Amino acid sequence: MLAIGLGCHNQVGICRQAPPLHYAAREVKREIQADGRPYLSRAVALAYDDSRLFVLDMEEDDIKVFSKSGVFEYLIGRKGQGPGEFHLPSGLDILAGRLYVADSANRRVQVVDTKGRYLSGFRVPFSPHRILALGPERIVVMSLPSGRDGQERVLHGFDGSGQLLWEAGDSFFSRDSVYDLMRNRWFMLRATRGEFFLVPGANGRLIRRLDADGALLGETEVTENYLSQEIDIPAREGKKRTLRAFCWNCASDRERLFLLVPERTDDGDLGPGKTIAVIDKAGGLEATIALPERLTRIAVDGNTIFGIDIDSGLRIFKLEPK
Amino acid sequence: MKRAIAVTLAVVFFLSVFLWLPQSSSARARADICYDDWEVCRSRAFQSDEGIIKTTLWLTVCDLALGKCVLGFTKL
Repeated sequence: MLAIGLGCHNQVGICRQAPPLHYAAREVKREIQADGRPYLSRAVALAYDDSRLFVLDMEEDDIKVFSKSGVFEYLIGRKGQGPGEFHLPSGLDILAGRLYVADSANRRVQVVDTKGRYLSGFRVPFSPHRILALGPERIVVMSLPSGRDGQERVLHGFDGSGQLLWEAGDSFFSRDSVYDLMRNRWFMLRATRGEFFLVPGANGRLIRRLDADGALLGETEVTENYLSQEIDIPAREGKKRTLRAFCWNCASDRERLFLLVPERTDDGDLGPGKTIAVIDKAGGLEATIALPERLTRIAVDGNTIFGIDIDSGLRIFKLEPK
Repeated sequence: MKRAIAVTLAVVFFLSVFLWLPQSSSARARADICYDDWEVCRSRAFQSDEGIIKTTLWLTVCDLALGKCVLGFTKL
């Protein structure tokens, strides 16, 4: 049986003894302003610590800070090029009271504290897309491949001063820059022991585990019970190419992976869905979580799910047996 | 005669260099701006959370705009 709350093996959250079970996400908070509009314009990344939830707003070039019960508290940053300012930030992570921001259009990484005070930063020779801090001296930055120069490395490991330490992760390349970019959708998720997972967004079900130096530690194939969704997308010369969408967004919590399953939209497209698949260490489908709304971004903390809906509203859910 | 031809060629050479260099520098600066804008366009499209087909079309528009921008027809 799955248990929510205390779980088994002294873990909080979901615990598996016989797969797969089904859960429902009960909404406990929907954060909106007094005039009914959401606080967020385009939320692209979520991160949390013991007491707060940090949401990166790409459109408004800031980080909106909420209590973990979903109450808006304060803003960090604004549009600009100075210290503590952002321009189209696209990645966020938190580690030991420090927020790491992939400041995309400024081509730099910035580190601020949880009150927004600038701590450090460094330039990178590309537009940083996602960021993961494995330690103060191990910051992994993901780039979007340009698609112009053949295969490119998409993972770049830096120390705290911005010194490049390693590069890994060859991009897919077929001379079709649009299709290639859709194929090169990857997510980085924190694992234990300073390691991390690399999860494909499309055309693959292998989840890689890498160490802080970018070395591949192992690969886990996600069970066939978890279905990829196929869609034909426009390609060069009027042709169509098939993309197998694996996950829309994902999160990790205590070595479990939570994959947001893509879903058909009313107009036949494939978009964010209303189901989260819980994947165990061996790649098995441990549970599914039914959401009341389509979510575009998720973060999971025990039996709490923080999500962003398609209108950029912050939603908070608790897991319940279905 | 030879001297006149040499002087003429030298003048033509220097004129062409001085006339071409600013254009080349300007073209390169414009191309850099085009690629910067292209990266922003792709980043916005990629983070848009539109459906996959819509995102693909958006990315295609980014590529088309880059081509036009580099050729100098318009700016992104």
